[in-house]
Amino acid sequence: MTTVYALDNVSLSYEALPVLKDLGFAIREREFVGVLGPNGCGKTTLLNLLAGVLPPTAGKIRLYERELRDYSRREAARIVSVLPQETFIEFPFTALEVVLMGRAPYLGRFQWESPRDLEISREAMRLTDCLGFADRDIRLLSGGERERVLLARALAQEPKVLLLDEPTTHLDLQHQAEIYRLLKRLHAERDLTLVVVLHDLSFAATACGRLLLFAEGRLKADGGPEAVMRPETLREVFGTEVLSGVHPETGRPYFLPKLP
Amino acid sequence: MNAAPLSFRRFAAVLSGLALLLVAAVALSLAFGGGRLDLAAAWGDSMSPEHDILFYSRLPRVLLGLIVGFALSSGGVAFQSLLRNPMADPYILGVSGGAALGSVVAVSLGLAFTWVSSVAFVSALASLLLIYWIAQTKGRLPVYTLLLTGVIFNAFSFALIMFINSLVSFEQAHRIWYLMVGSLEAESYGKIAVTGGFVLAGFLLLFLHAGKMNLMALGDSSAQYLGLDVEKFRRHIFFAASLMIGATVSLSGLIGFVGLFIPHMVRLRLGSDHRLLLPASALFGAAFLVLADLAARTILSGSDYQTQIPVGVLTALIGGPFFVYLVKKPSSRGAW
Repeated sequence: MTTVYALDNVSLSYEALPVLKDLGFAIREREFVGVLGPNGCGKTTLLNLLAGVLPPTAGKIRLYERELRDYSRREAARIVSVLPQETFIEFPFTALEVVLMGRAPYLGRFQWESPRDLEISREAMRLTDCLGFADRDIRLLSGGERERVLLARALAQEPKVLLLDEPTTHLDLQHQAEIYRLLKRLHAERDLTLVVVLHDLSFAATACGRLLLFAEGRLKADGGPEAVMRPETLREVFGTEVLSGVHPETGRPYFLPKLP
Repeated sequence: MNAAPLSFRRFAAVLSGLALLLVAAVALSLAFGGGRLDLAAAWGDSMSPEHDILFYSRLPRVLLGLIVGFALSSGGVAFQSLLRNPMADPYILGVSGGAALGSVVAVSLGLAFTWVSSVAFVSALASLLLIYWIAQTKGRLPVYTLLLTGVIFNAFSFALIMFINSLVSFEQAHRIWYLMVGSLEAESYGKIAVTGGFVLAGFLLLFLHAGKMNLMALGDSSAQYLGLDVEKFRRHIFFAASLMIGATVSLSGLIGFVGLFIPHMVRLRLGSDHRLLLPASALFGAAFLVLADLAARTILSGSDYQTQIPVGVLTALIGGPFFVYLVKKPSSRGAW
């Protein structure tokens, strides 16, 4: 299978403070990778490295066999799209206008969105179930609605790789479930490689074929859910006891923090 | 708001409408003033006093108002997208203050007008970079820090201007006073052409980036994810906005708040797509300032005072309360 990302000895420091250390792994096409780890372990930084907006301080990242830093921003944005964690939009854009901006990497300087761009954007909104409020002010939408609009924007970029930063953090249970279903569907139906930063271990174990577990800027474990999510590994990384069991209906493992 | 994205038809229709409004505002301001002017007579008879009033008093003033309103409004749009904040305005942020300081220094050195404009441009750019650098903390640009920095920077610039003012000749002091209050007093066509050239160059550069302003308005990282080279974009906008602000301030002085409330009104009506918002604000701002100056010229002219208000006084009287409204209105949710 084609290799999408190849990381070779990648490190990143902010003002001499190391954030990510000596990362070396590859991600292949159509993988569904979950990125786990406690707060502040460098997960969001990793996504920014993979998106190509942060250059590594050392080491090489290759995207489709070519060094990521040799891509222009526009070229990279046609291959990789990002659903950011938190987005405040202060201007009265409509939801559709925000999704249409996903077409920006394809537009020339004086080119306006064509009917095809509009169709791609509307299709993305249909997929994430937000076409119903296409002409509403983005600032007035609820957290869950806004999340779906931003996911539609990421899909409108027609990416090969979709990076998601905690896509369900601000959502209620129903919308969490919807996003999960949608991600699984996208993965099944499209030629997408997904890298998702998550806090939800149960979802990670259910949906992701592969997990990367980070602690203090280092890759602690890499592999299938069974290999990565051992109780002793989780306890060590998260610094708390984790209860796990097997869900009676789905047969998949689930995880809970152990409360006193 | 419009569910369909910006189409060329809508773009052309809105801008032609605003261009007509601008033409009407210009015609009105040429015809009225201290008294009604017979435009046909002024045009036809080059020896008549009407001819002199039209071509040496009103026309340059109206042209200057048009250019300055155009520049301040489009400059405001650029600042707001760049700083991702609908409250940004060259006057409030202190950039105009910096440009005024540069102009005052140049005027007191007795430099020719093109040089005064150039010095104003450089000092606008320097102030912008300095204010940006001061307000930035840990890669973020908190809006309160930014506004406060602008206030302090303005106060500091004005103190220096007053200091210089106390050293120069009476004639230069008079010129400095006009720069401080913001006025469109009749100027030579040569100076107006220089300012117009600077403004046009700056505006064209901004317009080339109008589509990118949309991405920038979503924030630094989102803009990068969508393929924008943010650093390069920022450099271009800094340059273009400083060019426009420096040139207008060096001629007309400090006319405040136009860059704040014109884009806001246009946004309410037309939405936030900068490809339309930028040129529409420029035209609407031009028409607004031409009419505001007409009002400033005429309000007191029939009274016992027999005087004119500088237009900067009028825009500040409108803009101050408008700023309070923006801060207090419920939909700002303290989020800006």
